[in-house]
Amino acid sequence: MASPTVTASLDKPAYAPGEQMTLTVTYGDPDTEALTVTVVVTDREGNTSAPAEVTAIIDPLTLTVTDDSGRTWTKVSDTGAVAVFRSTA
Amino acid sequence: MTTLHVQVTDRAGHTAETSLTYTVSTPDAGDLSVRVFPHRQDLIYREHAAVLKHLAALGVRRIHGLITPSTGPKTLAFYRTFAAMSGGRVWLTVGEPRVPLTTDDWNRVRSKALGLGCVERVYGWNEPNNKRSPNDPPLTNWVRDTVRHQRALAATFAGTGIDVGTFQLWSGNQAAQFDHLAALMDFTDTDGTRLRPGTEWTRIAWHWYIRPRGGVFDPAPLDVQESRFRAITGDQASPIDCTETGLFTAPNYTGGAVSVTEEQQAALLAPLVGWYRDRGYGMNYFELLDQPDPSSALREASFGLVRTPTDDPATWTRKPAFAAFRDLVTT
Repeated sequence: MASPTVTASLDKPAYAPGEQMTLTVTYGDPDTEALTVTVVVTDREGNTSAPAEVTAIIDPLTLTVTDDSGRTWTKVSDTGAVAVFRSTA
Repeated sequence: MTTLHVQVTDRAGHTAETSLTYTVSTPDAGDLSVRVFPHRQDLIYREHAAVLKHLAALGVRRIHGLITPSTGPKTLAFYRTFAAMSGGRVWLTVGEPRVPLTTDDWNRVRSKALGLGCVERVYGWNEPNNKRSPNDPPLTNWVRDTVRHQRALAATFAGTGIDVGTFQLWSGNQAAQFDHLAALMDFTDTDGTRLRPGTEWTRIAWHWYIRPRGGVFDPAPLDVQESRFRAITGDQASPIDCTETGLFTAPNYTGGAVSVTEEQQAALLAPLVGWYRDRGYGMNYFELLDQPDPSSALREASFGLVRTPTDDPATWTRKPAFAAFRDLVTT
């Protein structure tokens, strides 16, 4: 099993009180894979259903953000590789 | 400087971490004051050494006090000592509400204030529209007398380099406050003159507490308040000082305001300062010390950053909000 990787950046180094802060996290893991299973049901007469797809993530990752000041960071988007968080200064 | 920790973990418990830092700028300490009004026997809080010790630890560089024609040498020495100790300045409310000053009184006040050498701002009467106790001067003619006091204040300090702020209306009755403001602006004196922004004041001063709505402290009414004040006075330019705001900790209080715990008072202090600061207001925290109150039920006695179970300074202890305030002005 490989270890995950993570990098993070803020949109600015300093903020005024009340200003919106944006944190971008880029993360990944070589073991992480998206697996898609397609299911088709066929009866004895050879009739088939429409395919149904289900996706599973192998070795999914959990992101945690903690802030010394106690501010709460809210995730506003996550592609599985890049997550964006926001908080208020 | 605040540190952010970002951690990513897979199902097997493998982790990767990274940290980064950011800074939230602190308010301009020059516009953040703490109020030290109560006077007894020419002593603020009847005790100077301990009060100055707490002010030094607080790190604040502005205090808001009171000056009257009878202010004595001990109180004047207190202001001077604070300024020398902190490198800061003093804001002064001039006169007791609804007690008109004579020409000689104004000369004495001017001489004392200028003699301090550390006065940055002076303000008109504190809550001239509110009679707190039966012993206070009556409200009869309060509009006329407030207008005249304000005009005399501006004339007395014209050309001194000291900023002149308005009267500080009591805001306990929000609707009445604006009626009172309108009455002041509508008053025409016997010589035909009326109050003029920019002449009778260069700063707007007012008492405005942020009140909770649905249990949440909401700063939005500040904007409504400012708009109404500016509309009534026609003053679109003068900067604003909120000369009274704060959070009180009276667990047995049963009135209509909202008491908070000492922990909440500390936690809300930075947002409170931020709400005023974001609007460009000067802010005066009410106030430095509690007043002794065995009932723990009095609102006015419990806004302090320091607990005062008795008048003996040896019994005074700092609330968590003291450290929160110190961090705001010294970091």
